[in-house]
Amino acid sequence: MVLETLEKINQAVKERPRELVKAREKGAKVAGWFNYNIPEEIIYALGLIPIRLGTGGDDRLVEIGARYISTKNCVYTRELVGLFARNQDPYIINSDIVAVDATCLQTYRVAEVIKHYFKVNTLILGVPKHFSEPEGQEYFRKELQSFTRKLEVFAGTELNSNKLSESIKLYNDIRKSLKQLYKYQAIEHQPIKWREVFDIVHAGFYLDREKYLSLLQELLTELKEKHGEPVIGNLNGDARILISGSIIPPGDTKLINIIEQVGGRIVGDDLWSGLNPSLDVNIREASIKGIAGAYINRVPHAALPFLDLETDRRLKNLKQLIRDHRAQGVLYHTLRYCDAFSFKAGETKNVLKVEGVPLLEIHTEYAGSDVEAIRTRAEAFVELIRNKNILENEA
Amino acid sequence: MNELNNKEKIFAYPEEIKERFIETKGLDFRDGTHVSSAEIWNFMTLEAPGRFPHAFSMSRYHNSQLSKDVEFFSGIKRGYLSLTLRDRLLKAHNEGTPIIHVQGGQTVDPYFAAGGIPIVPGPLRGWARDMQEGLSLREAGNRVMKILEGGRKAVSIDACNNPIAAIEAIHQEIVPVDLIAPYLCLRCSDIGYAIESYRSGKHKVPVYLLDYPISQDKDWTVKYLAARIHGLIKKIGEIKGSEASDEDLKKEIKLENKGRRLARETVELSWSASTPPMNSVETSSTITLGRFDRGDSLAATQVLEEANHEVRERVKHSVKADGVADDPVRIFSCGSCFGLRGDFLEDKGGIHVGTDDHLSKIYADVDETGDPYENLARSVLSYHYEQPTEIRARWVVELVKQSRADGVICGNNWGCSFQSGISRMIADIVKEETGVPTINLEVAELGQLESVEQTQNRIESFIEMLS
Repeated sequence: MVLETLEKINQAVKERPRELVKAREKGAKVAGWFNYNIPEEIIYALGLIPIRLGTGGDDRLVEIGARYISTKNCVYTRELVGLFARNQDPYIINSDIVAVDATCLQTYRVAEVIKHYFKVNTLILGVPKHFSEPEGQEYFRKELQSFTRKLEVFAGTELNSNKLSESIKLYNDIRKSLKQLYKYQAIEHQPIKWREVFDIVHAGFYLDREKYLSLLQELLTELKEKHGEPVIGNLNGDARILISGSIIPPGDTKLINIIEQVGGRIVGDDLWSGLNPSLDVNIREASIKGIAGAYINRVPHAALPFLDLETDRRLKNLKQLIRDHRAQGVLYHTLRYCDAFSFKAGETKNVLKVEGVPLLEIHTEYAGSDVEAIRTRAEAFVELIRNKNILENEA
Repeated sequence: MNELNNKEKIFAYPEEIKERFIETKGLDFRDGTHVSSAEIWNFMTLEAPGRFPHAFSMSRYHNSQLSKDVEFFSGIKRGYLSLTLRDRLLKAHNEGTPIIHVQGGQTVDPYFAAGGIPIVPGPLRGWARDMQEGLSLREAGNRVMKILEGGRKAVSIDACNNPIAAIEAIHQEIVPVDLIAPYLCLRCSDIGYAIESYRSGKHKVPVYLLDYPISQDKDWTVKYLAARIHGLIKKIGEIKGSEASDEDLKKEIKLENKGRRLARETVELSWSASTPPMNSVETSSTITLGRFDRGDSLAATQVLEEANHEVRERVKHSVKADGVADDPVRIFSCGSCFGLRGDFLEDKGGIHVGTDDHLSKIYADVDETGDPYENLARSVLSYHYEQPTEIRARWVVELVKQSRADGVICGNNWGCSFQSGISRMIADIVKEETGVPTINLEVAELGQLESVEQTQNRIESFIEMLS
């Protein structure tokens, strides 16, 4: 059954670049950003238009980017640089400032490169590696205060507490809606595919956030009317796969296509371009302090070290998502030179093995040269899960 | 042993310098021991060639040859510090001194002050290699590669040789390390991730990380780092059984400031001389000794004092370092853990005048008055190498001018994603602001004892172009 709201969202994304141009003509300013810990609540409350930048999957842009950065940087960062070098992406063209947090430091290097070579107006937010220690949390609060002051100067207005409260509510509602959507894609007879939900998450990178929320709520209403409440009940023999690991930004469909082509069903993710940024954001007070505390205490990015295996919140989150979405295997996607995720592959596999969940690591780039090799491995992985299902059903 | 190693020439110090050498001062160590120059001579001419033959190899494939400028006596003592590192670390560990694995590119004052011995990845890999004695160059190289491959297999093929081999050596229990406590700065992309990857390993080693935020110029960053340094001192104190006082810190800061100043003065004097008084190996070693990487800040400072005196004398009498061309092509290098093979450069008519990575450490004195923790934090945060790249590049421009470099080689090691990402930017800024030619090299030979032809071919071509 076709979901009408999906078409509306697609249409809204198509129209968004033109809207941005018009908004800027009327004096609005666009704050593009990339990485993981930029609180959009503050950008939005200051009357700026937040846009999450970055795409993937374009080998040509990767090649262009590598002229400025290095072939030993991950393809995502190379493509980011390539986007600024080519300067044709409508969101890059329309960004008046580019905010970057120093969570993944390869991505921080991108900020340095684009500032130098393409004279991009960048604004940096420091992020502590000791995110759970009091001194680390204090550092982040101060950094966010300083970041906000600079953003206020850029916006030409001061942060208003009422507007901040409204902004926080808006973003809380968006996060809540996205989590609900993820439930729908995971039910037995899925009314919406994970891939469509993933695209909807990405639509939220660009659309006006109020309009986005309204579309999300409309979609949820449509789903509820047509399919009722989402309940993940019996499984129907699908090979249910959760995707984890390095970022899969808009445009990078290589692995997703392969999984679908070999008959796997993606039922969830813990990607920083997917569900993760919506999890565990508990803003206790409408202030910079409240936002800093909430962001630094949510599911940590893999670039931030976690030394204790037993209390590792990333792994705890992954295990919880596997249970919530009833995933039967994890496809751990690592981009070459993405050390934050690659270095954790072996350990994550061992941890999940104890839980009885198989993990397949796919170490790749955007080039098409390894598609068939990945297909063979993914196909075997899907078959393994399917056979396990058959054996379990027979038993 | 294969044919190549059978034919290997072995370096030996000439007997005719012995008498003059043993008349020079010996070395004092932090544990109270004193080693005379006669003992150093015996070790370097009798004991070490038997125990560590690879270090004396004169094979043209050997990447880390001893300096052949035998009249530069402080260089022999520096060699002694390198080749006795294994014995000194084992002795210290057995006597209850914590051995601490740290990051290159950071001040080591707090580690020594707290009663520990900091050791950076390169020397740690050497320590692991030398735990087996009597190895030829080829055998030593194979041993290093075996440890490295163990690390890559355990973690990732994308890992840089330096941190992964060092941490693998610790976890294989080849070397007894009591604490892993590096700074997490931009000079190394892999050390933090590598440490995290080993957390579920069988061999449990205490870990204490020191964040190095990218916003270096803020008061809150200083306080954040100072708090972490305070924690570090406590942590070392717990392992050692006694915590260092503020006075201990201040005393160590004073000593290391002296060492840094001596290293700085020596190198700057060498740069300004009409004929080079130090060869490439001695220049590089003077710089790295100024960060006290051979396990003893006291002995290192004494060697630097002697080196400083020797260079002054050579400059005064226009003495050129042995093996250096009359008008060598002066090469400056940039990049983490990226060295140039001195004897190779000199064979081709060049000379290495310094690297921004290691130089950064000797240009970061610590204020001796006031709160030592905040002073240490300020000093660490002032490292030129860790500044935003445009600022770092402008410092490199100054160094290139001061060292009168004819060419700049920007290098990065396989897997070093934080440095590779801005290598070209540094090269472009330096080229634009100085007019000095630059070249970018990505290399993978870190830790390999034998040369990699590709890199040498490119360096040779670069020197040819400049000469």
